[in-house]
Amino acid sequence: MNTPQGASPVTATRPTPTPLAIASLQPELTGLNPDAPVKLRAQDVSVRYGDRMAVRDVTLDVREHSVMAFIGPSGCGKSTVLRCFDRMNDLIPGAAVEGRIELDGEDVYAPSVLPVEVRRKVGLVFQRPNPFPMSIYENVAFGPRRHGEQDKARLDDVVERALRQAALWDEVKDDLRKKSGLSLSGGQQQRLCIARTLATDPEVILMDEPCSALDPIATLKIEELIAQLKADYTIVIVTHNMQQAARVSDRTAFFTLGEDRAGYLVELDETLRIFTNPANQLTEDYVSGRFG
Amino acid sequence: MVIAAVVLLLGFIVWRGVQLFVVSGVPVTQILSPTWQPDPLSEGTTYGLLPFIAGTLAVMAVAAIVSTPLSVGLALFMAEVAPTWARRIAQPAMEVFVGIPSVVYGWLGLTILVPFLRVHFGWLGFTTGFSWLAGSLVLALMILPTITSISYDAFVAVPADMRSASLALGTTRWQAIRHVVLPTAAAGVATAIVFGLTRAAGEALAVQMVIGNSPIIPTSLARPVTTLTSQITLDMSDATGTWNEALWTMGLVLLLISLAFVLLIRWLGRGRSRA
Repeated sequence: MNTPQGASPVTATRPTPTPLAIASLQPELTGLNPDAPVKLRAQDVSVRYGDRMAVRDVTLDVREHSVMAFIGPSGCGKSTVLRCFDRMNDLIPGAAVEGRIELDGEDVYAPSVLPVEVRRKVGLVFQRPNPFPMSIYENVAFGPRRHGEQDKARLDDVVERALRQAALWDEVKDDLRKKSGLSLSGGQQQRLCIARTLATDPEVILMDEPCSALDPIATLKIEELIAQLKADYTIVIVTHNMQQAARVSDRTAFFTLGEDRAGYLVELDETLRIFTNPANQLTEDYVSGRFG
Repeated sequence: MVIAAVVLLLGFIVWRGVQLFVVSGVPVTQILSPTWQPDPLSEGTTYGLLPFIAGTLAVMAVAAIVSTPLSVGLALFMAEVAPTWARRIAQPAMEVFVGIPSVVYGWLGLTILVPFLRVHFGWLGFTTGFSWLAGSLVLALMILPTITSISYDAFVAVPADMRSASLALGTTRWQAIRHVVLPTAAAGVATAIVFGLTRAAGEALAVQMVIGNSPIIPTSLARPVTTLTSQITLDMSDATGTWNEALWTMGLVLLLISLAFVLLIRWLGRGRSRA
């Protein structure tokens, strides 16, 4: 089929409708269901690294079984906010989080809450694939083993299910124990890391620019995966790729840098609106490529 | 030039080392005898090197057993737990440690450790204090900085995102160390231990000062034994003729032991680069 000259990139000339098109048609089938409970909430969250304010006064909600994208220029605090939800910021010396972060309405930073517990419920996929230097099987079984699963049959089950969910099973099933996780291609490694996260049975999956080190085909696979995982998990993805945000997310949060070099949340809305008719001029400039 | 010098040196040691068999006609199998009777003035000579080979390996083994947990633990603490300021002190301290002359270690052993063993553990058989254990403990202290600093490097070389990946899966810090950092650094730690052993095998002076120097097969930690190196230094000035040739043979055996360790290090290093 010939695409007409000068067609806008979002027109429905492709055989399958894009997630964006679906989103505009059936909100209840997507992550835009207004009745879905709030899974994650940030309330007036500011993060400092030592004396430097990295991001300030962020308030946002992420609903269950939805995908939220964080976009914005480098250094605007997207990843910093992301890492508040699983308390990975705790690991950075000098990092201090103010405000309230909630998971299912519970304060994640309450003194009685162990970071270890939070991180079991909230998984994180890193920017660069970082499988352990172990077999594929041991990579996926790592989390469950550490959390006390010893039974071999159950571990086998968990590993297979996680690898199937991460759309990697068919490619690796024959040498699960023979091949090192590091011998896989970049895209496979990243799906292995997703499988490794899924194996710990999280409720939320945070993804910190998961495709920035991958080629377009591997990227497409991860994006398809995100669309499938949404049914069972709540997903927040940081991305530099605006097409990616448009393709995978239900809602998009746009961050930028303020005068004081601290990041802040400019606008949060349905993805379709952010990319077609944003309320804020800064968002408009960013998504149309005039800035950033 | 350097290669020529090394080849010449090796060739010389091998040449001198085999004279015992070639020139003096001592059967090769005799060096495996447990009897060391080299003095030409006494009746009948036997050049059994077994006590020295066994002594060297035994002293090294116990030194490694004592030193490894301490130094690997210390390296792990420095790499994973210690705050930056502690690291800044510990690293130069290790280097100073390495630089202490071995006679100082020997002196400490002789004046503190040996009397200590004699006074407090005499009931365990440490009648003089000079013993296999004393030699091993002094060696353990001497190889501690070597093993510590090489394993520290191995731990630091484990990429930070391996630790983060483990923590992000909800593991504790200790689990991340135990199940990610340690296995990943295992080959490097093994290399560190072998490096320590290589140093231990070659150490003569400090060991000689505390070990008691009895050419017997080691059977008790409390009894004096001896090693290849300490016997060579001890006999150097007296030995003539066939006795002298036997010392060269001991040097050759030592060289072969070191060579085995170097090969082991290479082999371990190969495993690491593959992982």
